[in-house]
Amino acid sequence: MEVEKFYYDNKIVKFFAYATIFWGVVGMLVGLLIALQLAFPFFNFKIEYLTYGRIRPIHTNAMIFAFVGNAIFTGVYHSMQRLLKTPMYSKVLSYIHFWGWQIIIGLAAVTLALGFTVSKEYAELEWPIDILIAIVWIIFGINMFGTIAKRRVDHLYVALWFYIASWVAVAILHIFNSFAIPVSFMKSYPIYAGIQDALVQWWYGHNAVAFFLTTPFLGLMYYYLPKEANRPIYSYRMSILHFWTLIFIYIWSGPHHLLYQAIPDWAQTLGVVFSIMLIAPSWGGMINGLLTLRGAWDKVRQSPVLKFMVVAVTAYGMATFEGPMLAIKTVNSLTHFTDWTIAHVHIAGMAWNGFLTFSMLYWLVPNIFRTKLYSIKLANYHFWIATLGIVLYAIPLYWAAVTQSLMWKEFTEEGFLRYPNFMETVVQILPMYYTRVIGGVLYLTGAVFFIVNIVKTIRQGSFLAYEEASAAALPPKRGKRLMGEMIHGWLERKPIRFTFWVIIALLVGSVFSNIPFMIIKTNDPSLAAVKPYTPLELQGRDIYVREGCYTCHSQIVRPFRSETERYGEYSKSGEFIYDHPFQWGSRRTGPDLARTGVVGGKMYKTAAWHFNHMYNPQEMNEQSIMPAYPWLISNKLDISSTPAKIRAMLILGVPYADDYPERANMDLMKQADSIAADLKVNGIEVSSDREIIAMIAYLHKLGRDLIPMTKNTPEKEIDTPALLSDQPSLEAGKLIFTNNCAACHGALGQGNAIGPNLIDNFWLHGSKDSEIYKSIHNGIPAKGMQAWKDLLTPAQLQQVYSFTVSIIGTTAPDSRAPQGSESIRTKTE
Amino acid sequence: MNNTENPKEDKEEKGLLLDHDFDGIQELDNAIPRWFMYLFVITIFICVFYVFHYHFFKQGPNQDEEYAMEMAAAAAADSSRANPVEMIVLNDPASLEAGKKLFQDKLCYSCHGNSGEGNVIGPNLTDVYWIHGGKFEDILKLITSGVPQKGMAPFGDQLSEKAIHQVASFVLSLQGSNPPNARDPQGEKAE
Repeated sequence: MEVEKFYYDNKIVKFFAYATIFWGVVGMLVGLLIALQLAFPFFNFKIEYLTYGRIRPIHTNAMIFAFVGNAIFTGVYHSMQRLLKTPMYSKVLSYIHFWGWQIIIGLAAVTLALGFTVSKEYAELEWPIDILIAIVWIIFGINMFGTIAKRRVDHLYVALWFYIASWVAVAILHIFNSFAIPVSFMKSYPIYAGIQDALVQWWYGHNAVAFFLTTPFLGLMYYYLPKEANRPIYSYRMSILHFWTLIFIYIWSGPHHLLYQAIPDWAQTLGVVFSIMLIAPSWGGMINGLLTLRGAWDKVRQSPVLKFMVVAVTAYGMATFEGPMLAIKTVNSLTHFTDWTIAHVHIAGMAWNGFLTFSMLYWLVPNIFRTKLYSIKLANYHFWIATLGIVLYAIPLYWAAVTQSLMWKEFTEEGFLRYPNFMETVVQILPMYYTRVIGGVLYLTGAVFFIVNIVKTIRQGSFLAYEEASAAALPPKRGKRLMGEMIHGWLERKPIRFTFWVIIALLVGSVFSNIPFMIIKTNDPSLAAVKPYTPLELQGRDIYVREGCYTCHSQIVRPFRSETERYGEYSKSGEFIYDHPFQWGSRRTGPDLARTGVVGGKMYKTAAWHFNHMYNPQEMNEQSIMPAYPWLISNKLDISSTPAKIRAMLILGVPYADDYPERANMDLMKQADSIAADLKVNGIEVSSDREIIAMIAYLHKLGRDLIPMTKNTPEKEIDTPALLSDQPSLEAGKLIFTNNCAACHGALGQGNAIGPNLIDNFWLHGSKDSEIYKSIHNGIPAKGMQAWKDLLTPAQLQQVYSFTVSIIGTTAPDSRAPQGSESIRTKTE
Repeated sequence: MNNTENPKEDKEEKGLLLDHDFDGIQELDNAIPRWFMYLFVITIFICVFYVFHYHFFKQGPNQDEEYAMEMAAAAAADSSRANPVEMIVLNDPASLEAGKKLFQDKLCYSCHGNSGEGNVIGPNLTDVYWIHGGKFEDILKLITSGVPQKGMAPFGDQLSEKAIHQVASFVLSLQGSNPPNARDPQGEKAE
């Protein structure tokens, strides 16, 4: 067979490597900023573009898609050419891929800072950017499969299996999670709602971790580890076993992000059991990596590349054991919504992804610049300082997590929450947040050492843009399975068939964990009581999304005594049917907000409270770490978008009237005026056209509809007692009235600024005996009228009711003007 | 591939070496460690057991049942709420001190001022004017149930009855203390 000469393209590798380093530093700096913000709210600077809720998604996206993404492409473009003995399929596609990806990252940073977000974690970007990502990803795929097609090596090496699986999975995940109805150029609503959206999102979120942060890096490990160690891979059989089991099992486990939340038990069980079964397949990669170093451990001492690699692979093993442990419901009930999750992902992100990237670049840069690493000593410093950084980052957060979680759950002997004030549990862990900042600074310092070392290495080397190589072409017609050839060996020679089986392996779990929700409506028992958002609430919700409130506040109460005591009734799946997107969140830096609209509930706060709190949280509570949102008060609410938003919701099946888009703004203004009026009564002058008004409307909607269902359904018929007319009873009733009712209805029932006139013939809630009694008995909590059944005995209720009826038709000075509809009671009524 | 120092191991390895190489990377065909296979099989068994236990045989509680059990256990253990405390103002120094501490701990001062003088949010507690009644029972009731519409949180689910008695007694003890910057009177004058 004739030997052919060809050239590896090192230039594209260099481009991706530089982008990796650049975005890595940017992402780490942003990470440092948000760590500071959590420790000292001052660092939010009261600037909307720099506030935690908008910056945190920039950090996660920068680390995942910019740093790790470019690192993957660096390694893939470098190793794939060599493993297949061919240059990339198309240089043009390589550069479109490179620049397309960098443009996406730039757009992501800008749009997230501007508040354009879908609020689905690691999938926050709005629809035009999502489309761009899909296009660039497909270009990458064409380039990759094109390269595979023109290869000069018959068998695909294990690294390539992982590259293929990663590409396929990310394509499926990104496309199916991003389906949305555009409202405008930079605003859309996901087509999924509530629990469906939650399940699809965490199917995506979990497997973005799997197929963006894990499998591509296993591929990189399989190339760079044996290269540097100069040792054969320990076990080919292990490669086969752990590759297929890993990709098959991983994709099922998404629901473990939603344990004890409002998804069905069977879905939670899938999340639990597949996570447990994932331990061994995950460890397969670690074992194969570490055992490959058998007989080469002395090299680890000398080679910084291997030092970083060994810690990376070990951290991978730790994180993939920790993950399944966190997926056990008992453990999860303790760790979820705490900093444990943050520590967990940083062990994986800083040690596995970060160290493996450093390791790869320490190997690759000298290689393509045809020189040696500038300073092994400096690289060793980098290694130790970064390792210390990880330790100082993670340990305090584990500590913080356990501390805070136990505080949330602790009851006094009398049966009350020991720390009913959420703030106490935050103050307790602030010292750990300070230490975390130090850890982050150390890690970043290490990265600076790294950059110095790399720059010096580049300076002393000479870059080889196109590296000459040669290999024999493959013979044509070699598809048939040979005598004695193992099935897998044959499959490795058949990329299309191989990819087909990868797709099957990925689709099985995807379909089982998602599709039933698309079809079976009974899985989502909509609560009849749950009403769609009013236009003002919807606008407020979009502001909540824009500001990234979900990054610190959950909206799901789990069925634990410690949560129902703190927040109120636990969340039911039907509550979320109009939530596009869902807002359950994953971390409670602040308290859960699912029940902030329950008047008289534990989380209810008045409009004035919300106003003051958003304007300056530290004034309400000095120790609060919540950022201030003064622009919500100065910004005018954009109501020109209302019709389009309602129209999009109609398409998604939200039951508004067909002509509602055009009328919606009238309702919006009416509701806004009533909130502004309420604020005014409490001494706050604010125009009703401000964003804060919509935000308050939204916060007062949360959980409001559930209450009739849990407390009073089926609404019990109240037996209206007989009217008493004897003097002692009326006297007693009068006394009760004076003590309890006069504050709002005046001493003579004439009404005052708070409550309506009771002695005229106009009625807001009905004039019949039964209606009057019901108003007293149940109250009108939404308007501030107490449910007196909780505070008075039945006898007292009867007395005050009798007295109230007895004064109808009397007159009193300063009577409040009539309200409601007129109805003259007759004696027989 | 001659970097191992142990020639015997080197020889063993040769036998396991597969005959292809990828850009110089070779692969051994070592058996998968036995403990690894045990681990994998055991986790699968655990999962099968889990599914049967909770779903097919329904031996374990689902999360709603777990919640009901937790609440029932708490209700059984909780006797304090069942035995009502007598409505008596507690004027002993220890109780007043405890009440004062609760006044601080529960952040009452954030709305009613450090000395109960009131501020822009909450009313003055030191004068003889009361919006919701100035009798001891009224104050107990108010602290217990709150006035959520006006921003006063209900403390009945945070404090025991005894503790509420202590705070209410402390609040009553503030009567006539005339702190500086007191908020103007609101509500009815108590007799």
